[in-house]
Amino acid sequence: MYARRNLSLCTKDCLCLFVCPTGATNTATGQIDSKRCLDGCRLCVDACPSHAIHLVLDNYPEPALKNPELASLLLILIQSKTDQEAIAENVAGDEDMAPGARRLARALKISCRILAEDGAREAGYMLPQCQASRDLLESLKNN
Amino acid sequence: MEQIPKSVLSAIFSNLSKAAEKQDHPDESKIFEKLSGEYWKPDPANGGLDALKAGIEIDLSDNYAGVSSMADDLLDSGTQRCVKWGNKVSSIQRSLLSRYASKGEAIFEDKNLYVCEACGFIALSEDFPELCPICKAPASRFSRVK
Ligand code: SF4
Ligand code: SF4
Repeated sequence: MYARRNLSLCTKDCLCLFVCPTGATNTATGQIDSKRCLDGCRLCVDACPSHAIHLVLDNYPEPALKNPELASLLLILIQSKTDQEAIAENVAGDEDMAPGARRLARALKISCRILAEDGAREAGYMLPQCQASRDLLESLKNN
Repeated sequence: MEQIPKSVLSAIFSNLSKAAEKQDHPDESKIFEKLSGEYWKPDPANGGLDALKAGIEIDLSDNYAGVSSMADDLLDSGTQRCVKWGNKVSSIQRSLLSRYASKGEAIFEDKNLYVCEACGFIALSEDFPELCPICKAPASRFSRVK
């Protein structure tokens, strides 16, 4: 576990510099030096007045296994959203279309991808390290 | 394992790329991003905005409903949330397309399009929304569509 600073919340230059026993918080990049951070120490997390620091875990629990029928329905939904994304991509790239239509198509392309990704998460592909993701990568490698 | 279509794999991998980035693993995130790009080879799409709207209609009438009733049976709160947001975002997508179909380019006058990176909600407004009306993400999670 190591500490990580949210740079847009950090108001700079204060308490985490004073409490860190290793100086990991005092860097030119503004980010905490994870190599010098003591596993689970969290002094800076508790000291920060802006709630700008959190601890990054090394391990996450395995997400609950998804019901395979539900996962299949979600895959159909994802397919539908990516089909729409493909159409939107075409319209966005079509120079004969009006500028507003192309901008709307770009927005729809991004939006459909986010909906597809949300479906992917619920279909069991929540984390790269979870079992469903590893099985998927393994099966693609063997094909 | 059943054969998963390429475009679906692309979305799975771009989701994993984001999950890796959130865990602060930028290298792994880039690998998944690259994989996602490699699987994004959609067939040449037929039709324009009308076909897009027809697809959204089917999601609203059938696809989300099917997922929703099974998620209810299984008490899967994550999927219930996904369906709830997805339904709302899809109806906003549909209404933007309807408005464009009836009023044309005029709907964009003095307005920008913003997309919520958390849930996909699209805002048509003068400035960044303060809060996403669907998932409650703050303005910083919105990006302006250029
Ligand atoms: S958790 Fe402890 S060691 Fe790590 S940066 Fe914060 S104060 Fe320093
Ligand atoms: S204590 Fe918090 S606000 Fe202050 S410099 Fe550290 S991270 Fe930034």
